Amino acid sequence: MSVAAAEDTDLRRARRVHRRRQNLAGLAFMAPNLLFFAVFLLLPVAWVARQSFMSGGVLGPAEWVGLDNWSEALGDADLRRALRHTVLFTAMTVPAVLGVALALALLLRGLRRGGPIVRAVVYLPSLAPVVLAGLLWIFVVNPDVGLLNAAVRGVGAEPINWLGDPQLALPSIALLEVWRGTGFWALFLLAALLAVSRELYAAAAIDGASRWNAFRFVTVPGIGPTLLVAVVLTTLVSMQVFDSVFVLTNGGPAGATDTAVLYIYRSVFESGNPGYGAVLSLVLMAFIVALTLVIVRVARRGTA
Amino acid sequence: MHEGTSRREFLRRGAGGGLLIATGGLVAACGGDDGGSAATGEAAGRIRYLKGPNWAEDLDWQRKTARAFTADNPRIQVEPNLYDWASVETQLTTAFASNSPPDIVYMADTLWPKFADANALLDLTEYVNDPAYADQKAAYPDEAWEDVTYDGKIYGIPLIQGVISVVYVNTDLIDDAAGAVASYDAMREAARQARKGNVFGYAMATTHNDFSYQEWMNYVVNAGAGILGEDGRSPGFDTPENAQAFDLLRGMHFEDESAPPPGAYNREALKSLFQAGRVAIYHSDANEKIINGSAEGKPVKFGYEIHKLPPGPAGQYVFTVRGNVHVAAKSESPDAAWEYVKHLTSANVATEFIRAQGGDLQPARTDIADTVYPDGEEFDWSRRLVTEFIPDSRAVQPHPRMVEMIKAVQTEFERCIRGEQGGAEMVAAANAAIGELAA
Repeated sequence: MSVAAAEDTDLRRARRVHRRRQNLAGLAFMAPNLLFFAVFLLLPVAWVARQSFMSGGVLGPAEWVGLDNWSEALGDADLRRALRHTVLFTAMTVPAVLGVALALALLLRGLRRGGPIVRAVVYLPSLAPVVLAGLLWIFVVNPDVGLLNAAVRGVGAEPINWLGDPQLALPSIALLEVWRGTGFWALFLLAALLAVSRELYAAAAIDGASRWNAFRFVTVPGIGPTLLVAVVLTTLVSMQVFDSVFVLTNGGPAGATDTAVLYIYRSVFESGNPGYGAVLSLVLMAFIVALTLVIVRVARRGTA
Repeated sequence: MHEGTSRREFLRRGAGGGLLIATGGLVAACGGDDGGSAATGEAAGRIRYLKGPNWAEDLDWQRKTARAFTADNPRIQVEPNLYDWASVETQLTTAFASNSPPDIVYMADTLWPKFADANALLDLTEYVNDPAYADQKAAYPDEAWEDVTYDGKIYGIPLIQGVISVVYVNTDLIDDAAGAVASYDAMREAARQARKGNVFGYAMATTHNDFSYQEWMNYVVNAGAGILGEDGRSPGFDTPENAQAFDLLRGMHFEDESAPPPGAYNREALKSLFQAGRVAIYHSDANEKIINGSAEGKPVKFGYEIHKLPPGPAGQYVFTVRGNVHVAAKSESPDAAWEYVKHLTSANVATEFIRAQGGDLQPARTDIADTVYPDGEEFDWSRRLVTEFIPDSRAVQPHPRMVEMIKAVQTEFERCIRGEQGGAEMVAAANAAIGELAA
């Protein structure tokens, strides 16, 4: 072997050792998080997947039932209804929360005085625990003394049965979520708006851009990545709605607000069938992942 | 939690203990049964007792009772705790799924069969049928034992019974209260006549969150129907009489609009409407002091009468809920738990418990029916409940999926009172749903 070839081999070996050490160091740094990820996410998901082929297991021993739970889910009209309600709820809340939040963020950005106080006030509803917010909401929609119906009566209309009408119950709960969620997302988007360079607006103004065009061609691309994160996260949260529905209607009236997670909860705690609940959880997870991928792909296509 | 005891706390507890000892002595002197006597045999252990609160100071009362019991039975320590009624099923499911559930659990009649069916409760048949317990067993009516029996085994000891369905008739709005509740037709007509402006003729809770079944079940039992049939296994909801009962409710809500729009007001808001004089016939539970506002120091200013729901084709019953105490199958000290269950359900302790609660609960035992409430105007209504209402009581049958069955019926009921289906369709649909769950 020539000296050059030997040096080349040594060099490659040294690079390999260096790369291995780098990988090991990287793994060592990631290990705590990986462990956390595996213990608190991968293992539970694997356990849920296994549970979907079992019956029982909460109060008694689990029993292998093969695909029974899956075939039951395929023909379950109540499950389809719960998923439909969940998608409807998400379709109502996500645009409403982010639309109002963006409008508020734009207003807050232009505020010259009292900004911190107004921001605190805007954020306040997000601090209300869901149960408390739900109980407050029951007063807000009361036919006699509620604020919403006072407004309705103010325009000469009859009071509306917000939570008791099957057509309005889900939108009413969505309204609560809009009230609760808007403050948080307004501040989240405000942070993104403040990061958009003022020079871009100045350049747009010099080019004769209208306010709308400045918003469309400067603001939206500037906050695009943040907006995408907001859309994905609000979608995730909305798809998993449970607490506000549980407090306000518990699925009623006449099943009009049954949602996917409420259905999962009932399968586990009321029907004592965590296996079926596991199937529903996996279906919901697949649904959320698919929806998130669609949102991300559409958003990327929009920015491309 | 801080477990230390300050000097003031020590003195307060000492005074409380002294009071309990004095009370115990007084009760013993009066010849009552020995609720606080020492346990027989070698029972020993640390017992955890979990229950839902029946009044604000329930936990304090339970702790005092437990301390008094331990004073007499030093080998048995009892640690009472409370669950939250709103999430009772979740909490108890989690508790029983663990390896160390509470030894004793207080549960309502809709819930315990689910845990009995899953073998999470101890079969108490041998304890109850022990000749040494014969006197105590005889103190309960047969129905009380039937209501804690599942699959031929006794799983609990009845403690209390609560009347959860009566009608309050505002006599400022309806002159002839007795006439208004003489029959279903009379009630419907009276409600229709009373409906004026913002005054409703009839009101009842209409959502599952507000335990609406407490009211509509009274119509079911008056119709001679039930969630389940007499065999306790197959559905018993689809009868012509029951269909008529739900047609009546549909009529009052949808056709006459005598009642508030379904779901518009929760139970709390309905109570406020009644207190404001805006409901002529209010169908709710028998907690008169809460319903009439006196519990909050604001008693209603109008006159009212309390009646049973009008008679149905099968009779005039009152719907009740039973509260029983159960022992966990996984209890490490079942004998000690049984000793404390006997203590809690004994005549003296049950009497003290019911009196301490304030008058809204009725005893499951018949031997204290005449003495549980002391003489005096304050407890007139409570005594009337025990003597007039309880003898005509009906409760749900034990079934592990009873809560789901009630929820399934609730959905159909809500469709019915919104006019989406008639009584016959409603009871048929509910019956089918019950059948699926019972299968």
